[in-house]
Amino acid sequence: MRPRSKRANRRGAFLLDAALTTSAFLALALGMVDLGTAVFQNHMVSEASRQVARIASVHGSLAPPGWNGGPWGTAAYSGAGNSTDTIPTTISNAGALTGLNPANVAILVEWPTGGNSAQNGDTVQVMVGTPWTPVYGSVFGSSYTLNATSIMPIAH
Amino acid sequence: MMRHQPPQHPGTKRPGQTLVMFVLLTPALLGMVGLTIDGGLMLVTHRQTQNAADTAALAAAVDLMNGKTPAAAQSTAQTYVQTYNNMPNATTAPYVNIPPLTGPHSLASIGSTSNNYAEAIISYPFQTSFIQMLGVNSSQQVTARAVAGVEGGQVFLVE
Repeated sequence: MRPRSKRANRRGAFLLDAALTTSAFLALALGMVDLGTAVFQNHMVSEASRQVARIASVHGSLAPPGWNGGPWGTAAYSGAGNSTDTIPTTISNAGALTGLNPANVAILVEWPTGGNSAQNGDTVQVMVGTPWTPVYGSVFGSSYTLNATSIMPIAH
Repeated sequence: MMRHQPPQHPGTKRPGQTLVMFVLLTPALLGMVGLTIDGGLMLVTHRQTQNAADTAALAAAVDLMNGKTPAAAQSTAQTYVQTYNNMPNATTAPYVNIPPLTGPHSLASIGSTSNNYAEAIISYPFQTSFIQMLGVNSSQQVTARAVAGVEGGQVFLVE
């Protein structure tokens, strides 16, 4: 058996180094992309909940009857972002679900005080959620739901 | 005659490998950084602009309730946007339309009663920091709208 040269040994060491550093680099880079997507989605969900709450706050008991279905509530509403119901249609038209896939967005609108009157100090609570499935499932877990909640006083 | 080749350093047979990976991953990383940081800052700016529009519309409606002229109400709204909300670069007048030009409280919808309502439309410039490296225009603009009015002697934010 021929003894391995020093040069061949060095090449092997380099290959091992390259394999380790490349996989570490790829893992870090793809992990950053994965987490970046999650942070971006979380931003959009938070903003969506604020915008939906802002829209719902002006759809209190004094809202004009022919405008986006008139007053909203006081029965809780739950539906998907791509539903043709009044609330998802109104908020989609206002661009509140920008950056999200409406089909994957769950919207829950509730009136915690049981009323929707500005004079009585009633409030509206909006929860928006969307699933996030990491590409690196083995590292970050299989699936999460990104949720955001906003509460606003009824303005009108 | 054979050309003299300098001795190869171990590893120089794959000199482009890391470079190729770097080139392939940089746009993806920049895109994520851009979406996260620029997108987040843009959402913050939109929130500030919406707050400015809400306060401008409410301030104008309070002026209308107190019997001031539409011109005075517009001037008050402008002060609220540029001074009290610290947005001196918001686009120039008209900040406030009295009556509103669109929506259920416009002149076309409710006639002369619409004179009791003020519509604020605020646009604010936003400069991106990262996402323009992927070809997106760095000069963006965020816009927010709000309508407030006087109903039964009270001021409401109505749209």
